[in-house]
Amino acid sequence: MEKVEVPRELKEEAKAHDMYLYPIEKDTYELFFGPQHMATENFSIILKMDGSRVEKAIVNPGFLHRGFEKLAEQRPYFTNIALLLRICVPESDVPENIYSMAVDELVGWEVPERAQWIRTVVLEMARLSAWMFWIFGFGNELGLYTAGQWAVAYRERFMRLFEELTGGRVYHIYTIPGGVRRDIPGDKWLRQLRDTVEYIKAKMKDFDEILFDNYIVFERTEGVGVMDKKFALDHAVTGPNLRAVGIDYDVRKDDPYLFYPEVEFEVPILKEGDSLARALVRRYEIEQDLYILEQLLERGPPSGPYKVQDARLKALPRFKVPKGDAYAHVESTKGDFGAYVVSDGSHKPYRVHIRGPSQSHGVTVLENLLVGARLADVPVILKTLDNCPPDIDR
Amino acid sequence: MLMEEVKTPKVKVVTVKITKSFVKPWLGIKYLFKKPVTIKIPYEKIEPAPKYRGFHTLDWKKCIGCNFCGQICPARAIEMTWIEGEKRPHPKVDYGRCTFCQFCVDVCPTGALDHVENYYLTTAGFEEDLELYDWIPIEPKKVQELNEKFGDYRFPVERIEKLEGNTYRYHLRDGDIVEFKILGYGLKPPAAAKPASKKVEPKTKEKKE
Amino acid sequence: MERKRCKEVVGMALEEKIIEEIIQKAPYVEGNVRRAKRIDLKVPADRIKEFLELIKKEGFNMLIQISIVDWIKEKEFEAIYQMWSVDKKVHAFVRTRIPRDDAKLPSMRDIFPVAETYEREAHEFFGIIFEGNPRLGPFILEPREYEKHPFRKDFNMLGYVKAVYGEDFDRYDENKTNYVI
Repeated sequence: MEKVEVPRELKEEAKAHDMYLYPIEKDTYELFFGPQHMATENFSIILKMDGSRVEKAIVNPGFLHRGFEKLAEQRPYFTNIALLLRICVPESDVPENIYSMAVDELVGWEVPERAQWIRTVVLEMARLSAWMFWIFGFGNELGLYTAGQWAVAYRERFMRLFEELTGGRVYHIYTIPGGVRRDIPGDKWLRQLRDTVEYIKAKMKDFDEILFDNYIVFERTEGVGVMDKKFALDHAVTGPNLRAVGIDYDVRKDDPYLFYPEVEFEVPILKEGDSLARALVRRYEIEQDLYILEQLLERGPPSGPYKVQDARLKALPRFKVPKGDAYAHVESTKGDFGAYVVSDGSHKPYRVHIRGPSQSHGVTVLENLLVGARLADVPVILKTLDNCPPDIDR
Repeated sequence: MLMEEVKTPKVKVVTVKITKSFVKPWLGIKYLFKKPVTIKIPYEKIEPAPKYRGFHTLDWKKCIGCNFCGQICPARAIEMTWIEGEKRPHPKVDYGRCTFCQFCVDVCPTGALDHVENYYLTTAGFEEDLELYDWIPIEPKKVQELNEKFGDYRFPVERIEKLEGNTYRYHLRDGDIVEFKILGYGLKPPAAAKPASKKVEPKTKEKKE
Repeated sequence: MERKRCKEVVGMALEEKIIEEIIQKAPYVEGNVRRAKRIDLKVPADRIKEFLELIKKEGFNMLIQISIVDWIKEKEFEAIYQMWSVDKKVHAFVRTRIPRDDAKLPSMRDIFPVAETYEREAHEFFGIIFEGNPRLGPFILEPREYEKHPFRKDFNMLGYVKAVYGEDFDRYDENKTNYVI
């Protein structure tokens, strides 16, 4: 095929919209893997295809941009919790916690032990409900809808527990700088949580039978989307994706926070780096999370206040924070979530910058892994990377 | 001690063991014979948890009109309103903007603003129905009475009627009526009501500074 | 209480050793230790690229984020490269300052390929030109918002919204006094 020349005005217009109309050797057609698709969740990819193989992929985010960082500069410190938690909805405790930890470091007060225990339990519960949601997404992409329906029914139990603790099912608005907003509603709640953990442990055997030991899942995910160590470190891959390549990096062990130094758990590592390894790492991590919750519940909550008692908190809308900057990060199911907060001494933050894990996974890693894949492999690679578009757009 | 656990993490390196099987997925059929977990909502009822974040209630005697709730609301849903017969302004909540975070309840210094578990409010899009979304919350005892009488968690007001001269009339669900006249919005006392609120003016100016 | 004391007493020796080694190889750098596992390094703007090559060999092999802060009173942008070392488990802030008008920085794309995404986002929101990055352009925003570079401090957000969406998005406009927002 001879090279096709593209006229200059079309090139300028395509560059203005970041569409890359440059001539490729082969004869390709353009396919919009668009925002109305269950695999991508409000995110679109432009695929240049040759037959049913992908030649080039261009990522097109921006459908969920709500301007969080600019809006957060215009509200007082405590109000930002109700705004920033809408960044990652399935796991909404993670943005609350990173912002609260960064502001705690700026102010310099000591969060009481009971609040730290409650924050750890809430983070682990959020991780488990996000794993259930991931099983729903992963099963749906392969066409195994049964596993997804079971997983969402088990997630419902966690939402009832959150409703009794915090007052809301999905948007908790519970962790504030200085502790938490309410206390645990009694021993009955702790017993219900322990029963839920035992229940889910018994049901993981069913998930193994239907999803993780399934012949079809092995055939569709083995050898698809392979990464190696150098690629992963260059492209700042974090979370379970990095542990499927052979590098041992878990924020809970390397930069410990809250109650994690007192809990025993293992970090599962696999070496192959393809989609099957990424899915199996997440299966092993569900077991470790259940083990962590059991240990925390056995230990029981320490006694004491659940919020910092400070005289400055009487005038909450005008609460001033000393000058400086701080960075705090937390291990979420998708990767390494971080927040960088700059303060100039007034009652509103000067700059809040949130780093979501999909900023590195969902853009350059995806564009490189999709080259040469079949069309049916595209949702499999997307879901095993666990791409969450609101992290990219914020 | 704690330091040992942080310095030497336990790490397990595992290579992928393939246990493919044709037969095991068929074992999922046993769920066909179990009881479904669905709750059929209009026919069976579920109760919201105690202290669920729902609508607001206001104790008109305790409210001092300091506007802490308006300053901390993340969505600017609270507006202070001057009512005839009350010395201080009261907050008016707009449920089109409210995110139900209840920061206003946490911050209120006298405890006048509070919340109940009611959460059910649906209307059509007519102009008279849309008046329901902007209201000054009513007394908590009245809302508890309505909840016990009707047994479900709906919005306590059925219809808001706007009469001439800026008078609002709230028709509650059991037939009672709450009526008052609005003189103005904002933090400064309205200009027309100067003789009635002369004593109040210097106090609110001090509070603003 | 015990946990925090352990972190501070044991952890500081490693960070101070790292800073000493870096200052030996690159004497134009100022560094200090913020707390356990956080170090702070300040670099002049014309030597940032060779410093990042040097620090990659020291073990800081993951570039986590490029944050930009707009100090409008001092008329400067501050660019902060957040680096993490997987072996030594230490987080480093690498800072530079560049003037606000006609802001330019070299692109780190050949050292860290992930910097391409971070630089596209920084260019779009602040208007800094990264030399060597071919993909600068509207990425998340639309072209009409991209031209104004919205995260700068002199961009009036309420004024822009009123101009685009009309006057009646805010109903009781004449009495918006003394609101914090």
